[in-house]
Amino acid sequence: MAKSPLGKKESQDLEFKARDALKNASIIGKEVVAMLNSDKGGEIWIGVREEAGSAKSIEPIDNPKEASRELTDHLIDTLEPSPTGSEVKVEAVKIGSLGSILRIEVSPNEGRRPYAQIVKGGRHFTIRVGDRVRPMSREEIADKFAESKRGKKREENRILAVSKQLLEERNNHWRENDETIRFKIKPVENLKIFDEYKEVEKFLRDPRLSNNRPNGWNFTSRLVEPRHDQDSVILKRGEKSRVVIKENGGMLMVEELGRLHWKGKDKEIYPWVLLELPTSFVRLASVLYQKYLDDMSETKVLADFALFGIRGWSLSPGSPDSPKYELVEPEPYEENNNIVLNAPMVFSLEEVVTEPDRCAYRIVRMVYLEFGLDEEDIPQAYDRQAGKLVMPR
Amino acid sequence: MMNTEEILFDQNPWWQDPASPRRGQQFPRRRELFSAVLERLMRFDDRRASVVTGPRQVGKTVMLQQIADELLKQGWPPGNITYFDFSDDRITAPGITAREVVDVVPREHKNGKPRIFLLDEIGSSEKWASWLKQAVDTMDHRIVVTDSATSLVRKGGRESGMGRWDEHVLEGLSFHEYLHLQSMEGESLDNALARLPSPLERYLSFGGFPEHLQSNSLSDVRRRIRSDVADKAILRDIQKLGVRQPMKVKDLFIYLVADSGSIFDLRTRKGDLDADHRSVSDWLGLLEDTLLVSRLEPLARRKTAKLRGRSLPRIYAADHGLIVAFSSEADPMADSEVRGKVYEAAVYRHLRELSRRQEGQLGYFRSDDQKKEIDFVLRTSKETIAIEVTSSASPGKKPAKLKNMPGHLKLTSKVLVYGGLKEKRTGGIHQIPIHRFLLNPESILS
Repeated sequence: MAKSPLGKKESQDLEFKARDALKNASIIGKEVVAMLNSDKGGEIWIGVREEAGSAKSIEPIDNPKEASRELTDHLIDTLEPSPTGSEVKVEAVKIGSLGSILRIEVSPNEGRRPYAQIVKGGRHFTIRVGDRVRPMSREEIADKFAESKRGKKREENRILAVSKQLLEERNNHWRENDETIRFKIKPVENLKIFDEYKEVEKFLRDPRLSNNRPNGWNFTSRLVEPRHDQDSVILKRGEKSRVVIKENGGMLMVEELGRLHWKGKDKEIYPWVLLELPTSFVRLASVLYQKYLDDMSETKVLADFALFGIRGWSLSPGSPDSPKYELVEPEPYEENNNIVLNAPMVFSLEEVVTEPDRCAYRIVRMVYLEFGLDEEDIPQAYDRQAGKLVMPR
Repeated sequence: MMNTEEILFDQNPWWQDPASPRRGQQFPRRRELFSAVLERLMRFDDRRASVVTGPRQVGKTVMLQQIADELLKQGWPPGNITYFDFSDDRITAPGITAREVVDVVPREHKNGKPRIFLLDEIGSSEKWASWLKQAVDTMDHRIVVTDSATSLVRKGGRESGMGRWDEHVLEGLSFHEYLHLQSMEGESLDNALARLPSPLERYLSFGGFPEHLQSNSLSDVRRRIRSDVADKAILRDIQKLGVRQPMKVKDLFIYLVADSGSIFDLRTRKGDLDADHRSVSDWLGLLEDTLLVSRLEPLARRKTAKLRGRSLPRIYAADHGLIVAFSSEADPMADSEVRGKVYEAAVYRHLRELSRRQEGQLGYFRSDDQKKEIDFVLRTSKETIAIEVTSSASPGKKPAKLKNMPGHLKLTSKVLVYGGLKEKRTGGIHQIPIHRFLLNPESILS
């Protein structure tokens, strides 16, 4: 049960609206935009009658979940840029026996300001000053755009720095480890994905916990005990094979290139391995980053994938159980010794958490294209529409 | 309709063209038993035949084909090698006898060298045991036969076979074989363990059936195992033995597998199956003979204990994959109870082989007051080893249980096979992770 807002006073970051405001949601939209454009955001309560700026009584809302959903839809449709779940969160809140009302949590993203409300085709920029809302001046709007640009620039610089670091690590790795698969995932911001090693170790043992098949190709091992370093959990699966999970969210998987082979001729990539192995690792990231979804959904996550010593390997089109796969005699890959990304791929944390398979698909797609195959040659086990890899259980 | 000769020519393509593709070539990796059977076959100073028994789908046919392939590679005259599968669907009633097969002599046959007969599923031929006895006694042939139903070996005359043939049991794959068959040329087992997809979990879930080594879907494998066992091994093979209620045999099998490792309670099973004591006992015997289940007797303190009706065997699924295949759970290995049974059945499969190799005695222990139990006790000529099994990652109360065993067992060592990762010897107990035990069961010997 949530703490009642009754008795509190409206302020820079607190606003009350009567239940009737839901009948004209643009009134609420205006308040939300004003808070998004102010320094630190705030809270808007719907279903609270105020007198002289103080919350006096609760006006319970019938069917609050539906009201919350409708209001969220309205805000997504009428605000620009369209707010993400971490910028605007509408939720139904039960106030003891008085009934349920709605609370809107507003958390602006500096890099996306100014926000506007679209009314009859026009953009309305408002800002909250104290407990009042007023239109923004031309200068204020221009300043916010400039701020946004600076914010974006800062983020771009951070991405560049991490990207550079990943490329250096990749090159250092290559010098010492030929014939390996290397997959590194790193958030631009430092996270703290575990307090105790045990929290991570269980994921390295049981693939089910990261939504992976128990019998598939993945990063786990039931044969080796993970060990830990100062800030990392390390699973050494073989001479070159290892998984490293860092407390700050950095994740590394290294596998011998031979892992790509299962059936068929020597140096033939078995498509299920290519599909499932990287996907399993992004699914692990999805589970480990989950707790940051609300607060850091826009944080960027970089992924670097490389196949070292891949020259001479071949990849057939289609699923191994398809006629196409049987019929085509693939040519060995002779373009380069390695297949690497020009630069690490950039995802938002939200994408990694909510659609890990779609993120992994981009990596798999890159490998298929590099082998001279088309996107349609990627096995149908990757359901492109649903954005999911569906392997037989 | 094809006659015997036509079928023989079809099954022995090397008679006409020694360079023709052979099935044995498709399977370059061999089961561990292969060498023993081949070696026996090549001992010309001893005419004894080899009888290889094993359940369906464990690779008996492939092994015979590999023997044919190996002999041809070694330059054995192609016309002197005869393979015949008595379960060939083209054979019509009243069937073909072993004598008829031997009577077909290909033109390419070379005198002066013995003929080699590789007779598959011989149980489908009439009076094969008396023929084999006579053949070993009077002919200069070298013979290997296979049968998936050992009752035939028994009924065919295990006694008359004494000294005339050696019996070899081919079980489902051991974990070592499982890795070896999938390893690449020159690849170490450690490397194969790191390369193959979830090798331990797959072995435990899919079982030791070579056919499913490289399947990608557990649900598909489970369905196929159910079909092989229920529709073929039970409803077809057992029906051939004249059983009138094969469906009840199937039901009994399902009960036993779901309860793998439990003490067999005849009274409960009689009730479950609405059948009499004698029938249930017979059906259990049939399931044992077809190697679908395996009996573990209590370790008799006195040799007479069993005769006095105190024998309460534990019945195990012969292959751990059967437990997963017949489980009602959607994800059987996620269920701790099923997982525990799978671990025990897999350990038992490896202990059986170890016991055979050591010419030991394997049983379980249960004290008279039923308060103390040990999953397995292995007695060899040199030692008596108590083995407890748990799928749990931590040893839990098992070490304490093992410590507290009666002195009359004269245990020389105590072993705990568990789901953890550290191998250690502590407090007189050797704790060994399951994958290490499965890879090297001998490691429990001193």
